[in-house]
Amino acid sequence: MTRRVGRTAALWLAPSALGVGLFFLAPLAVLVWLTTQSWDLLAPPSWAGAGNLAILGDGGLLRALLATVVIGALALAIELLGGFALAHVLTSGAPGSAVLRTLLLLPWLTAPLAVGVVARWVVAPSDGLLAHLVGARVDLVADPVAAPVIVALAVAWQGTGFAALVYAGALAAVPREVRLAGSLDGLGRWGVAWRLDWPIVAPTTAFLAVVGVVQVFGLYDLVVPLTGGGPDRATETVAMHIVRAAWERFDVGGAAVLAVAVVAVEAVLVAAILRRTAGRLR
Amino acid sequence: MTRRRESRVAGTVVAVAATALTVGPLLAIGLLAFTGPDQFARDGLGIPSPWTLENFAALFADPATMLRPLLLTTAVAAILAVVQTATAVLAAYVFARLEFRGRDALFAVYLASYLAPPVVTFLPLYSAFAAAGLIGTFWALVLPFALASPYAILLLRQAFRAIPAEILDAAELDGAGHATVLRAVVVPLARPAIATVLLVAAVSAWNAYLWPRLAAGVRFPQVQVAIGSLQSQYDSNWTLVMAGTVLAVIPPLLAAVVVQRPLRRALELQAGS
Repeated sequence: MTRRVGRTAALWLAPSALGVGLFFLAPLAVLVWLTTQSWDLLAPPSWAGAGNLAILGDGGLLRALLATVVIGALALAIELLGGFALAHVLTSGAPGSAVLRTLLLLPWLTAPLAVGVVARWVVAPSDGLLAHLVGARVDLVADPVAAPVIVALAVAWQGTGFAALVYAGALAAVPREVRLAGSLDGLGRWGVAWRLDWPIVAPTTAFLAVVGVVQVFGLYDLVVPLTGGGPDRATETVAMHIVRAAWERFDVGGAAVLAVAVVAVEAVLVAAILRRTAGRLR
Repeated sequence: MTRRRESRVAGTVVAVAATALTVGPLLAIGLLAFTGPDQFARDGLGIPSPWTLENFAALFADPATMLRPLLLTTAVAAILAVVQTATAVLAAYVFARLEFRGRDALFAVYLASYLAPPVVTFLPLYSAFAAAGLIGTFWALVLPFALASPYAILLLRQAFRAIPAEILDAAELDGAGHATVLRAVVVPLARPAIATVLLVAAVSAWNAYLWPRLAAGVRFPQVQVAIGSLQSQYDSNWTLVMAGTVLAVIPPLLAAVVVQRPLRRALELQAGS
């Protein structure tokens, strides 16, 4: 019996394990090796020792991390609060909420690059939607404060519907009695939502926060057409920072160092979110 | 009583605002795609008058601009969706149903590959594909993603675990092997989840931009790569760019409307993961 289980397991896992091994674990090993190499993608790589670590000192990574965190925090705040509020509308059975559920799927399935293109048209300085509405040139993407906000709004446009649908699933599982007890205790509808539902769906919030962190650390496609990382790198995310080091400055070793550092930071963030929720549940 | 009405009004306001914000941008792309460049210069956004196909005609004048990327992306998305779903069904069954030593550790490794930012593996992958002379080929687009989709495995594992154990045990008592149980019981019962996984896999392949650009950008541009270069090339020719964007956005949205029920169900289930 066990032998048969073992054989089935090994056989059926083989294709996906091969995929994870060849296209995730092996690349990670290669990445670590690349951190010690000096390579411009053309000539054969040569040993650089710890020389590539110098890239950590030029301030670029810190700036990229800061831009990523600012964009991510703002987008995530909108996604979580907006999604939570929308989920209440969806679960209230209001007329049209079934249609709204379908519509909310659409941004999530739209290509991030296309979202960036459309957002770019909205804020394009001279012929964009805003410029037309105002009737004058409006150059928001050249403003170092407005640009990250615009990127965050575009990211949130994609993520809020997704968050609402996931929250709606969690809210549907909240026992009726809990809410009834809450309203008998004199909590209004907002009180029930905020003081009862919100803590109950904490695991869902943690799940969405982890997904949000993963997404913002990979954020690239949407930013390229929208701001190109500008102005003066105010919206250059960590992913864009790594891509530029490797494929624009052809410093593969340095890019590998950046990538390892970014994975470490992301892992710490994800672990912190998971630990926080686990602690709260116990 | 008034409080109740107030909260209902608030709910309606939120619903209307959400609908407008969601649909507005998509509607705008649609209108611009059928607007002539002259009218765009004059009015910005408006109802096209007359409705024109000239933007699309310009896009298809040279098959290299949009037609070939659309066909290529369709092929890549179809291959990846089918292969990823097949390998994910097998892996998810093992993770959901079979007990063996190291199972949870192995699953954690699968999950980790979903959490790492893609660009981190793209760097070494690019190096390896370059060393193998595969950059600029069709294989570079398909190979890295074909064998394993951790997201698909996660989602299917959850769906398979939701099938009551008694049904599966009964089938096994009747002498059915794992292959039979999977084919005759699990797959039919998990059809909504499998449809979702097929859709998500196809849509992610369709929407991919960074890896396709790096791996085969010039010779085999996928549709998002084509839109990206369209936008940087014709920076102020918005009606043309939006016509291309419509073509890049519509197929996933249509597919989603077709399988919307299972897809929504899958998202709602994620809350419990």
